[in-house]
Amino acid sequence: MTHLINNIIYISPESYILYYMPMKRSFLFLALVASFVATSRAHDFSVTLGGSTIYFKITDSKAHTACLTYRGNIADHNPPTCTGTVRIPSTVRHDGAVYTINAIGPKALAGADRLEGIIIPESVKQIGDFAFEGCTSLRSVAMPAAQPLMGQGTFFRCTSIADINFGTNWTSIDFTAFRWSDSLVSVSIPAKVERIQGLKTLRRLRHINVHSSNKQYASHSGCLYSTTRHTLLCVPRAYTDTLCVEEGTTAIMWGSIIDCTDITAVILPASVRQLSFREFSRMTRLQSLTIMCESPLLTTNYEGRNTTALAVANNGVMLFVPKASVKAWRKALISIEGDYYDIVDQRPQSLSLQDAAKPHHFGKPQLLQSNHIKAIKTK
Amino acid sequence: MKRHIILSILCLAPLLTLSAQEEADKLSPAEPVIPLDSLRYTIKMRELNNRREALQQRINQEDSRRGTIIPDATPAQQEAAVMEQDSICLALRSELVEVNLAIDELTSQGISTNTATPALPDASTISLPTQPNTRPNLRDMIDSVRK
Repeated sequence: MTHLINNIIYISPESYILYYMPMKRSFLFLALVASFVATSRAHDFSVTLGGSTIYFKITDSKAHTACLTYRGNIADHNPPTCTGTVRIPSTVRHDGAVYTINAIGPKALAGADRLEGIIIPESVKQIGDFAFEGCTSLRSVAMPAAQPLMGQGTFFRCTSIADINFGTNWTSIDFTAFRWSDSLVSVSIPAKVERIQGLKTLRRLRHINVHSSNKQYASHSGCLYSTTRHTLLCVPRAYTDTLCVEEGTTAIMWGSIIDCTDITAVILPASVRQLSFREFSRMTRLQSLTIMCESPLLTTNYEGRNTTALAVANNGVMLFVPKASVKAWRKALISIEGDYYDIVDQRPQSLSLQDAAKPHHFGKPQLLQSNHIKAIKTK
Repeated sequence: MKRHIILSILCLAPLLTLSAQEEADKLSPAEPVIPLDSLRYTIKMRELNNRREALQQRINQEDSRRGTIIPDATPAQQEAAVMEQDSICLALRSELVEVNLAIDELTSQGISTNTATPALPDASTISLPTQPNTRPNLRDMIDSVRK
């Protein structure tokens, strides 16, 4: 044993012991101690594939499962050095045992700014929080066939994702996970998907393609419809030029077109029965609107009765209707300042009656005027 | 002369023994003694827990600002504001995940909290002992023998 009585610390062979010390020195000492705190590292072993080293942590040594994780300690901020496309293996051999990779851990590849593509194997059942955060060069993501459990912010700040391959057994997709990317212009919905969320959060989306055997959804000209094609559900936000709604469509879902500011012309078939008066109110480039219905559509509730009005984002919009119905349209169209309501019976199932019954105030310049109605020849 | 020296040594020997015993008593387990590994662990853990708590509070604050409608804002401006607020909230959550991972890493070192916690007084309580160091020095002892 060594005594250093006047030097504060007493050292025994077994352990370091803090004995006593003056206050100032104690703080210095504590700071020193804190700086030397060593933590265990996250990974147990690593594998180098095509020049990229990826790290794994054994999650169950008996079941031989491991998850993809980050290198070293989280506090070290060692961004992964992965480059190009990384295909995560479904099994890895380590110390004579074969481990199944069944998860991607939280922050596993966060900050891998040279990673361009990721192929996730079928064995992966879970993707942790912020697993790919800040992978700014990541363009292509191949998901496993079975839908993994996804954590929050999985693709947070992944600004370059352009191609996502969802698995064939996926039943729901929430696109808000990919909203940080302005490169995602096209998405494909697999056959078994029954629920889609967040399509409108993709600002550069131009094209939606649904697998032909999907029982819930269908696509036509890059837009999303119900499988019967009776309801237009979503027009991609970056859809350009002319939107020609498919013949047989009876309802335009509220908000399905409203934020498509690059559309210059909309053609609605004669079959349409449901349309909100606000649907064109934000389409700043819209020039022409063609509604093939032979009688005016009831689009709003004004002063307690269902009637016809159309709010537009610019006063140059022209409405084209069949020649035989021009008079009826001109007579029905209201364009006076006031509070307009949506027709609540036409609201989407997801919208509560309370939310649907809110008034919207529009002035005269924001409403289509009857002298902007023109006739078109029909067959 | 030699007798004097031998006599002095014989007198000093019990005194030195007593002094050593006194010193050993000071280092007995009754004093607050802290294993350094536990101290490191606890300081770091406390720091991380404080950070986690602070982050959680900020997340709650920022979450409450979500969905705030900005008066007279265009839909595009409103959307941009929502996006920005989402980013703030997610960035904080990302930080929180990091702190939680750091706590997990620390915990997996194998040092149990039970070992660490009882031994650690607050930094403010680590100070000089109330009794001064009473170890007699050699000169005082010789003087006292001479007297």
